[in-house]
Amino acid sequence: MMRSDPIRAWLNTHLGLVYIFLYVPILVLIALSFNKSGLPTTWTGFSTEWYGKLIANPKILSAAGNSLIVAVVSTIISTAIGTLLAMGLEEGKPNPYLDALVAAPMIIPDIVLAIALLSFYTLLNMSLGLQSIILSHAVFNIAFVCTVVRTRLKNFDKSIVEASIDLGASEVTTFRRVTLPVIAPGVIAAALLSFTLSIDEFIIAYFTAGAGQGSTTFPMQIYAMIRFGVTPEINAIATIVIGFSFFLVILSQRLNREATP
Amino acid sequence: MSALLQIEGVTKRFGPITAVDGLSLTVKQGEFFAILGPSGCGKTTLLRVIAGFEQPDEGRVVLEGTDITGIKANRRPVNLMFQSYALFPHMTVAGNVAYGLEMEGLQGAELTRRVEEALAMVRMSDFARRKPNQLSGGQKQRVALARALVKRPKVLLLDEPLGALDRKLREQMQIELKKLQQDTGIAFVVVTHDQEEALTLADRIALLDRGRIVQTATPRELYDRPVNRFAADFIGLMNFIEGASNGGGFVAKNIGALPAPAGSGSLLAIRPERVRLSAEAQAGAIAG
Repeated sequence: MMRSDPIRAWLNTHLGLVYIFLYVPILVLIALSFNKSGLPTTWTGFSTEWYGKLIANPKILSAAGNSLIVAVVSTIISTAIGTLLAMGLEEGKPNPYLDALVAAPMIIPDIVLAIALLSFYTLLNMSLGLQSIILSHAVFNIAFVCTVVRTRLKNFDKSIVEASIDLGASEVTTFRRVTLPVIAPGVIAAALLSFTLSIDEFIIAYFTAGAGQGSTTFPMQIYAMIRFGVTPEINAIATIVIGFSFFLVILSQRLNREATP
Repeated sequence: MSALLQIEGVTKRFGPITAVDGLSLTVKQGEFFAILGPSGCGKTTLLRVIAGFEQPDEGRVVLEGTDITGIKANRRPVNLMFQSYALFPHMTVAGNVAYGLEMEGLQGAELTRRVEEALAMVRMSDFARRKPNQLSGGQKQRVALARALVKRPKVLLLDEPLGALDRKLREQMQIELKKLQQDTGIAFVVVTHDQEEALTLADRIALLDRGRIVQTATPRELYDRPVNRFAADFIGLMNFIEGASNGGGFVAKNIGALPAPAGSGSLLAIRPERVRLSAEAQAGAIAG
């Protein structure tokens, strides 16, 4: 039935073309990362040589370590603050202006946010480094966490909070034993999302990292390497990042869907 | 029976709206008390004031002679069964029932025993390991009841307890509620808009309208001796005949003299079931 419908067939073709457009370049890149010759022009056989070189490169490893620190710490900060912010906003009277202000860091172009944060840090005479990158990432991640957690809170039955208090629990116990476990899937999904956003963020990190070599993050390192041409090593890095991001996005979506009542 | 819970001149305003207006009532020890009224009459607000979720603007809530007005909801020996049941979705049935006892610091064998006892009381022992989303509406209600009763409150408040159930289940749960109340001896205060529910369940009913008590009486009294037109109209079916009293009787507009108890009102109300038709003229009958 479906196949005989010409409109359906057209839509399927269209869908297929869109996916090809989106993913063929990435698939080529992944394939090249396993190319023995390292040249984008000819396939000379399967090899994991470039992945080996990657692991042996101390600059890449230290950059990856930095990115991991930035992503983990900024995720913890933004998940805690963003969740509380979401709860506060859902509790209060609906206010579209407040909502817009909270969502703004998601929409403001990264370059604008980067410049604003850099000027702000300079004004405060703050030393730049990993700590300033962490703070900057927390800024936009709070907005994302808040948005994701709020969708979860929308269909949260508030009477269970009152029920907990009625049964003798304090506000803190109620949060720990009732509210948090119920919204946990949303909070975890939000944390995964902010981790993904932080780990491959380039512009803001680039602006707020300061001059020191010690605060180079993973994307910044790739950018530094790519100025000398796309090496097979970069293909290998990109493949790892893609795999990792894909995994996190799927995990986050699954968590969010499973918990939808 | 002595006074257990006293509401003394409680007023609660939300902005320009006065939800509860200088209301006073007394619930006696071991009583099944119903607060009845149309939606928006302030009955749920009153319940929330008793539970401690709303602070009254004026007046006091007194439990066993102690003023509990300023005491927080989690410190009151009063429990509330929510209209939506408000079961914790991430806990099992047993976990839900145990929660309130854990807050009292109970643990181990004593905790297990009390939980099992409460589940047996509402015939839900076989469902102890289930999650709330695996239960039917009636089963959820039983768990909610067990969760509140296991705390052995002085007063159990029930917000529209049967509202979410279908008709057949409602009748069955009415009987169970009444039996549970009699078995436990705990005073139940039920808020409802369903007069049938109030009339069948309650020992006494407070009829509310616009934040005030219209009448507090037994179901029988409320049915037979409503104090005003609102009370007469709200409960059961009623015919209203306008006219004027004339000493020993009542002269209705367009009908003429009717037999009626002595009074001075201008409105005669009569239940349809009290009117009988007969072929012959009888004492007290009206020809027509």
